[in-house]
Amino acid sequence: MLAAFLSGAIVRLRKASAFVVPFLAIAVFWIVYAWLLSSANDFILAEKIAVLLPLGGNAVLLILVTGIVGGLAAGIAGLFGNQCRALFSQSDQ
Amino acid sequence: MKQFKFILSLLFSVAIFYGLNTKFGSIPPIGKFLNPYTGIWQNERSTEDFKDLSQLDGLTSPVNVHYDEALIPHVFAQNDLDLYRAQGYITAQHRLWQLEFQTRASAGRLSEVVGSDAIRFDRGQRRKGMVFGAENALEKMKEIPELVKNLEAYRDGINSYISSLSPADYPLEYKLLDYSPEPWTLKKTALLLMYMTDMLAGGDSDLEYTNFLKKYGKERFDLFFPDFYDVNDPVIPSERDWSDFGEVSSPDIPGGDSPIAYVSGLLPKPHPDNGSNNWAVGPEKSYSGNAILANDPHLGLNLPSIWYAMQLATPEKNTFGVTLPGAAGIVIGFNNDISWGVTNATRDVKDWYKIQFKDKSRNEYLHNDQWKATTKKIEEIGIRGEKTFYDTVVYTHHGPVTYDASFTDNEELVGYAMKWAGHLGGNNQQTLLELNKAKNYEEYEAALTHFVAPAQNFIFSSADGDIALWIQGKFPNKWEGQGKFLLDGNNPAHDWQGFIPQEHNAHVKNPERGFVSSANQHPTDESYPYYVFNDGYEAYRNRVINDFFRSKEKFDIQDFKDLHNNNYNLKAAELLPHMIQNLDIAQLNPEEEMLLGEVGAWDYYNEIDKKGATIWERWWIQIRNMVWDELAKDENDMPYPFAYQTIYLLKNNPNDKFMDILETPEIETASDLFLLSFKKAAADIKSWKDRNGDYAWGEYKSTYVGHLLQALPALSRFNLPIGGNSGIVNATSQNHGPSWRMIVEMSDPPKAFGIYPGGQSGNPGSKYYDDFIDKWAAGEYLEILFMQDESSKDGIMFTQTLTPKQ
Repeated sequence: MLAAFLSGAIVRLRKASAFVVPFLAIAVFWIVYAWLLSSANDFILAEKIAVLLPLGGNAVLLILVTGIVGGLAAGIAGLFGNQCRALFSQSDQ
Repeated sequence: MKQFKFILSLLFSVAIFYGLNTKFGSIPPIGKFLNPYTGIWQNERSTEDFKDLSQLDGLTSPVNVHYDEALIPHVFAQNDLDLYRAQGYITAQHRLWQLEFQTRASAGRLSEVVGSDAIRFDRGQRRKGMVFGAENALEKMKEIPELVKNLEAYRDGINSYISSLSPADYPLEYKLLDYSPEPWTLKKTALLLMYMTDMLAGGDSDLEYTNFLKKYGKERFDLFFPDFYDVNDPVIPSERDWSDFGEVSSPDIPGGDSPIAYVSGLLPKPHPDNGSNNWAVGPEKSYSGNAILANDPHLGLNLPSIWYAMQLATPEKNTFGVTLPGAAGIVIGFNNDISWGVTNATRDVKDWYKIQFKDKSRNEYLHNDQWKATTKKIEEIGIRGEKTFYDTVVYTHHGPVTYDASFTDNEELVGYAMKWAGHLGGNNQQTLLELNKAKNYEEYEAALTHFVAPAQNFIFSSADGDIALWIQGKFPNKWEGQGKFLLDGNNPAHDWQGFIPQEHNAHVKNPERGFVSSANQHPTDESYPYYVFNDGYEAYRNRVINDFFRSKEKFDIQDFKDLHNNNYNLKAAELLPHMIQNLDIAQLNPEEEMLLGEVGAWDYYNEIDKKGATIWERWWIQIRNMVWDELAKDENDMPYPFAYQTIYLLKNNPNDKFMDILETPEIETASDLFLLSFKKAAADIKSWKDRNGDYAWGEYKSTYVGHLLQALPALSRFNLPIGGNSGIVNATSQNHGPSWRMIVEMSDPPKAFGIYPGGQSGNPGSKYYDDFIDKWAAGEYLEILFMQDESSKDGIMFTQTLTPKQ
């Protein structure tokens, strides 16, 4: 979350992209990384965790949820960073 | 507006950060949990990162660990200290969470991890004296400096592994429960052994027997709970005469009364089926002239499995078998000279004393009509997310006062103290390490002397051609009847007066009959010169096993495998024909008649496809409940007579008062019960059929192996196609059964087969987590690779070398 906050503070994005861009960046990154780790092991654990959490044993769904969770954290932190920047840049003027 | 958006996004950030990193109830912190860097994705691997490790602190020489296809490690070290250090390290690599969790449970420290739901459990563990017993055992272990050094090496091996972990590397269950591993200590090894002791020797029914005695009287008690059944096929063959014991003395029955009291709110007991089978044939009865031995301990079926298979070798000794994560050495196994195994001896080594306190402070209690001082231990029970709970446990010279007004509904000035062999402080570790390197009968005999509790039937065979069985434990030398009921805490004659001398523990070597065996039955017949009373007496598995060995001249390994998988239901064979014969068929409707036909045609084998087995099982459960309805309805905890005696009474005392069902106005006899229970059983089958379809035995029994965390479905295995039941040699019931099956022929080198329902890896993400289960259910075995040296790498999947820190 910290990294997303900082990048949100530095890079000026407008409106919705302040959330969407970090969201997508981290979501995709987590999905790919999780997928790589899991497919190397035939998704053995992913299927079990997808039973533990109410996802019906669907490993793909679990990977998607992983992406969403990561993306959500990144998106909100990025948005917050962006807001900080906006707040302070206003007071500059 | 900008400030508003700022504050809003700040709030959201904080909320989401908090939400993703906090445990809500049983849901783990979802951010940490699903993060690919630190969460469960890091556990998605079948084998750990087995790089050659060059940092193992404390090793004096390199240790080679060869893993075979089943991920069983074959460990070659140069000396004992390196060996046990490596054993600790490797066990932690594969089973860290289980290792830790079991000792936490033993010590009554689950609330620290799971919160206040576990308080009663934790209090019970402290009050049972689990920690007390572990501390006493530790004192005993310290008497042997060499043992201490070995256990310290084992501990340090575990700790080397733990300290190498970052949170991302933690086993799954730590991430699930959101906590971290703790360093291992010698006390935890003692606690692990207490955990096993409690499981196997923690049972007793003294207080329930006392309740029964008070209500129904001695004559009724002796009828329902006889010391010996009308048939007896004991562990030590009847032919054994005890004249080699010489002089034997036992205390006389003291005068005076035993206290009679109603006690309720008792702590849960260990599973009544905790037991096992073992058997061995000597050279004359073996197809090859080599002794053959087998053992299958019966315990709860859990994942990770209670056992972990290993080979432990140094230039001086080479042993293979199963280990208990947390204890050093091999527990059940073999070396080039001997093999050994254990079954539970079920001796009553836990007695209760009624304590009279002087006043509410419980500072003094009455013994020998004098007030003596108690000691008090304040147990601190940490609770996750809440304040620490303090429980004061009062100790008398008998032991801890488990039940008193602070824990159950007792009068203020009364308590019940536990005298338990588990508290005596034994040195099971020393026994195990000596057995691992024993070469013959004399060394086996010497190794056993340190073993106090849980009492076990230690079976033995050697390459020399000897077979033997020792019933080993520290047994109080009791007066006849002592300990069956509540004892008087004030009367010194009720204290344990002494112990049976080690040499007088019942044992047999190379009996005439050419085989030894045990299956938790009566240890001896009435000729044994000491008083014996057990918590349970198996009456079925032992007879099937012994009849098999009496049935022919020679036996081979296939015979042993067949016997492990034998599904013959002797109990059914002894009651079913009688019930069917005495059933008034005219009273049955067509559906019931059909079921009666099915069970009548059944061959008494509990194979998975047999519908008759299911019908029998329901019929037996119903009739047993009907006979003993008086006991179930009683507001005090009452003991149930054992199956054998229940069946004996149904056949021989059909008009006994207990046959009556209280609820009904009529007075029933056994024949009435056969009919009523059959009708109920038929209704059970019908509703099962409506809900689930097939009522074949395998479907009905639905055997499962459950994860230690209350059989979390995601991490457990269900509906295993395996037959058998408790009371059958293949003792697999719904969640209990042969947790390890081993067969060893003492050839040169020994040939061995083994299997257990689990896998070598404790990581649910590994393909080795449960890879043995299907084979086990099918009655198959792994061929054990017993490496004689490191010259050949046949069967080795990969090797890891542990080298000393440079």
